[in-house]
Amino acid sequence: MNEYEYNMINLYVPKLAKIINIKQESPDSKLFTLQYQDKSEFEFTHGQFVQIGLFGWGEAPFSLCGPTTEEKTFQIVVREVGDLTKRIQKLTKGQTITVRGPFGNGFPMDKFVNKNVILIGGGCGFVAMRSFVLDHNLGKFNPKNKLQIFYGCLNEESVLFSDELKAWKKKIDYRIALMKPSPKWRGIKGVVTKIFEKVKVVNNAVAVIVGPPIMYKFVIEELTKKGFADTDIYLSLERRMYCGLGVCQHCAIGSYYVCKDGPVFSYSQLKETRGAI
Amino acid sequence: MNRKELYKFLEFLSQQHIVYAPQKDGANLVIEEVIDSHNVVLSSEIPLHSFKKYLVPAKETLFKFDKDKIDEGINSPNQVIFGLTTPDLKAVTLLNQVFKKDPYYQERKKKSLIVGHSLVPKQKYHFFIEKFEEHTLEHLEFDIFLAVKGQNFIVYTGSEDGQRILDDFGYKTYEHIQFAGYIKEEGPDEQMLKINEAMKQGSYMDKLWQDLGKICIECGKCTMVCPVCFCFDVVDQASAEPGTGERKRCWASCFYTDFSEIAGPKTFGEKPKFLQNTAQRIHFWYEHKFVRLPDEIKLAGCVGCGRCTKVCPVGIDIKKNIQKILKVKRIK
Repeated sequence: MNEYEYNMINLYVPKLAKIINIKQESPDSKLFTLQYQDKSEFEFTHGQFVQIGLFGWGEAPFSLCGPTTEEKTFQIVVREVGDLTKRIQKLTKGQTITVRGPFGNGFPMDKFVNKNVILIGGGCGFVAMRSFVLDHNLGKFNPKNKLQIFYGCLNEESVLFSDELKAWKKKIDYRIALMKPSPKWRGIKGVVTKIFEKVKVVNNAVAVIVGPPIMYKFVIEELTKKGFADTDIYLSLERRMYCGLGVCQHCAIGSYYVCKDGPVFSYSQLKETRGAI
Repeated sequence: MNRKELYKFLEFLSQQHIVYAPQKDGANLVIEEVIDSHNVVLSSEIPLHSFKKYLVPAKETLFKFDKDKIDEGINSPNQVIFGLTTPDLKAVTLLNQVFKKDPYYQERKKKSLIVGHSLVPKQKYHFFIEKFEEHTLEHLEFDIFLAVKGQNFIVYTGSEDGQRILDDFGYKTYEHIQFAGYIKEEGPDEQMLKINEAMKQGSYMDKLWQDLGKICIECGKCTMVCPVCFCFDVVDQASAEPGTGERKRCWASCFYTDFSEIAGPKTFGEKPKFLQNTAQRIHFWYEHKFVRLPDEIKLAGCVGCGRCTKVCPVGIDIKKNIQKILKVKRIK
């Protein structure tokens, strides 16, 4: 049949990466630092993800969460939620896992120019925001633009990156709400939207929301009340994925593919698509 | 080419290829490997199961793994898929686009000779189907096409491979059709654009989908027989030796509840998922065919073969549903 000109790169074949470091972040989550076994460079942008796998156990998508300034190493957080993540958590330093990607569009950095940024994260959705936070603190962005974080979490134990917070708070307006804190907790209690009642949202800002599906509707409501336009609200979505190439259909929403057209969408893109949020 | 020559040609092809062609299996017409070329049936009836599995197998190995070693097994035998009707050729043309950058599909395509014919199916189940005319051929991808004329065939070629094989066989009086792109000069299909527009204005909450959600039993038969449905899972199959096995790509069906499941805490014993009910799932199926594929490649994900209607155990009729999608008048 007619021959197409096509690139013979087989995007289904993963590369091997070595585990350089493992850090327990919370009772069910570990931060993995990885490096390709062939020591090749790893480039990505904030909000992108990789397909991480183990031979015999398949693959799943994970948010990239290290700083983009590292040329060779990259980081993911793995929370134990299923068979694959249980296996990955059992691995030790020096062992290998498989990587495909990075995939996805990432944060709309062109929309962030001369704008303040508010990141609103829930649970392990917060992982997807860490690259941006680290780059911000490294001075990669315009220092005039402020960064505010609203983070909703279960309890003190489940707060991610807790030992980095002291450094973060120097440059970021970081606020947290805990759903089921210990009696000692003096901060905001409840879901992430509680923070909106107590804290003034930074003005002239673009918002990015990453969290469990249930969270989006309520956070969007709050942001809209504060005068955010639909085009200034961005959401990073989670879906089942296999190929990462916009073919297998598992992550499709309306006319979009979360793996290829997302995972970050503006609210104006998704507003009319029932079932998206 | 007359019938006698056609049988000879089939025998010639089977010397160096596995030949798949429509044959009778009880009351059904199916596309299976040809053992005796006299069993090949060229008729206006569309075979129940499509040619799909020969280009997009139900299960295929992406690679083998042994500890940290990966063995890419891209290889496929020479094959002929013989006797496709024009709707099925449309489906081949669409799959060629969808899997344009897929090395597994492309390898299989390279080793495949596609032979179509001009008998047009009767209208009971089918729709979208145009009468065969020579100029429609330039928008279909094939290697050889047999236009039926009485007891004989006018032979067209659509590729160099097609020409070469006819030359080798010793048949000279064919006419070559230059592929002019899969979209016609006047632009994408109008009917497709109308359905696309109507679908985009509606949602799974519309009465049509809520009604279908009540009768569809999610058996997934329609997705299996559809010549276009190509969604897949990727799964690892471990071998007995620890650390060894194969990564496989397998057909999936958007009607099955695990299709949109993600990891996370279960509620009422079920994992979180995004397609929550039958109405959402059947709407998703139509959305793929009439929203996503037209948006991506300007082709409808339905070629009008009617197989899904034929196999549906509860009588869901895609032709009627399309009429209903188009009929809904929306007030803006």
